[in-house]
Amino acid sequence: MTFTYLGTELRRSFRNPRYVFFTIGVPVVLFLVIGNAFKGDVFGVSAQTWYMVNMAVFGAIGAVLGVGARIADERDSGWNRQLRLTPLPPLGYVAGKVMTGMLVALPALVLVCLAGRLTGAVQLGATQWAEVIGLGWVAILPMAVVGVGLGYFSSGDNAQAVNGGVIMLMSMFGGIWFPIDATSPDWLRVTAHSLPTYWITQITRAPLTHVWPAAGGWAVLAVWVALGARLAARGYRRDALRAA
Amino acid sequence: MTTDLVTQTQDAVSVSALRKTFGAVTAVDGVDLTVAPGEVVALLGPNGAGKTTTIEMLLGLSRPDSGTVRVLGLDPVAAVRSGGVGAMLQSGGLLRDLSVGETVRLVAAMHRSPLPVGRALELAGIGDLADRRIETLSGGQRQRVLFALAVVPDPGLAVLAEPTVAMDVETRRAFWVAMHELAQEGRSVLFATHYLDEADQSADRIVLMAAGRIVADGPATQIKAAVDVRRVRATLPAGDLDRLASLPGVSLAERQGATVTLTCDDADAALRALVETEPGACDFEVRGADLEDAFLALTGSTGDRS
Repeated sequence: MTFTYLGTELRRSFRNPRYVFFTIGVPVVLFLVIGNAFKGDVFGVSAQTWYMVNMAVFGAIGAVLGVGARIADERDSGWNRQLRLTPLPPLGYVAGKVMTGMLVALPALVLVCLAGRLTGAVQLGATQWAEVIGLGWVAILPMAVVGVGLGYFSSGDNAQAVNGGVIMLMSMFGGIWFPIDATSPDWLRVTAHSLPTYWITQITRAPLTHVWPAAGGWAVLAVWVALGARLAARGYRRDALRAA
Repeated sequence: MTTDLVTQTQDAVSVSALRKTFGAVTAVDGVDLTVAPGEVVALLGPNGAGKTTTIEMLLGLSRPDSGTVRVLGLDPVAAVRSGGVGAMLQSGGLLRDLSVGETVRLVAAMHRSPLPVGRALELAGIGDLADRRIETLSGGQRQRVLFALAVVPDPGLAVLAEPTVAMDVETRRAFWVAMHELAQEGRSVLFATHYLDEADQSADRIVLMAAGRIVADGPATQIKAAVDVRRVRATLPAGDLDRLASLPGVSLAERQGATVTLTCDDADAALRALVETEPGACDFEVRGADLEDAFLALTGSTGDRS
C-alpha cells in the first residue's frame, strides 16, 4: 500500500514542470552562474563550497514545500474527503507527504552537489560528499514538517505564493543568499538564528567545517517542527469538523 | 440503550434516533433506518431533506448530535477503516494530474482485498479511459471514476450520494446496470437521489425523507403509488376553486390568473370530470408532479423544508 502511495506521489512530482525546472533546475543554474562570483573563504570553506551547500539546501527546501502545498490543493479539490472514505489513516496521509517531500528533496541536493563536483569547483573526498548529502537530507526534515503545516494553513489558490514568500524570506534572512556571521548587524544575526535555514545549512557543511549547531540551534529546529505539526493538526481538525 | 448488548445484527446499516443540527437548522430530526444485507435502498427526498447529512454521518464524516449509527456492525469510522464501505460523494474530488487507472489503483492499494482495477473500471464503464488524465474528463466521466472508486474496495456496503448527477441519459442507464451487478453479488447499496423514477426503477425499497425526517419507508412500488401525483392544468377564466377541488380525483385546486392547476391522485378521473362540468375550460395539460408535490400529497404538510 505504502509503495503505491509513495510511487504515485513521486510520479506526480516528476510529471510537474514546476518541480523539474524550478525546484531542481534553478538551484543548479544559480550555483553555476553565481557560484563563481564568490571569492575567498566563508566559514572556513571555499566560497564555492559554501554556496553549493546553500543551493543544495535551497533546492531541497523548495522540494519539500512543494509537496506540502499539494495538501492545500487536495483539500480544495475534495481529494482529502475522498481519502477519508478509505482505510488510509489521516496520520498515514500526512506521513506520506513528509516522506514524499524527503524523497523529492534528494535529487535537488544531489544534482547541485554533482554540479559542484563535475565543474571541479568543489573538491571533496567520497566520504565527505556522502556526509554532506546525507546530513543535508536529514537536516531538511524540519522543513518537510513545516511544509505540511503550510499546506494545511494555505488554500490551493495561495499555496504557491505562500511557499514562494517563505522560501524567499528564509533564504534571505537565513544566510542562504549571503553569509551572515559575526560581522553582520545584530538584528540580522538574531533573525538568522531564529530561522531553520541558518541551522540546516550549518549542519549540512558541518562535515567540512566541524562546526555544529549549539543547543540553541537544535532548539530552534525543534520549535519549527512543533510549529509545523501544530498548524497541520489545527488544519486537520478544522477539516474534520467541516460538515459541508 | 439497554438493548445495545443484544442487538448483534448483521445489518449493513442500522441507525436509530439520529439527530443533527447546524445552528438553528435541524438537518436530521430523529431518523431510524435499517439496510439489510444485499438490499438496495433509495433515500429519496428534495434538496435540504437531510439525505446528505444522514449519509455523511453514516460514513463518519460528521458526528451526530444524538442517536446511534452502526455500519456493518461497527462504528462508522471503524467501518470505513475496515475497508468494508465504498462511498461516492458529490463533494468527492480527484487529482487532476493522475490518470484514471492510477487513481483507481491508488485507492485499491489502500484496501485489503480490492477488486482488480480493471474490473472496477469495467463496472464503471470506463475501461477505455484508463490512460486518460483526470483533467481531460467530462463531468459525467468524472462521476464514473468516483463510482469506480466506490466499488474498487469490493465493499459490503456501497453508499452513493446523488450518483447520477452530471450524467447524460446513456451514462445514467449504464450506471444503474452496473449498480445492479454489484447488488446481485450480495452487496448492500444505499443511494440518495431526488429522482422518483430512479428510486422506483433501481431500489428494492424507498425511504422517503423530508425536512430531516423519514416520512415513508417501504417497497418501491408502494411508495411510488403513494407519491405518484399528477397535475392537470387548464385555462379557465371563470371557475369556482372549491367546486374544482371537489371533483373526483382532485386533491387540490389552485389558480394563477386565467390558469387553474389541479393536483390529482387520479388524473384521468379528474380530467374527465373537468371536461364534463366546465365547458369553458381549454388548453388541457397533464404532467407528472415533481417530488415536492409528491411530498405535499404524502405528508399533507405545506413543505416546510429547511
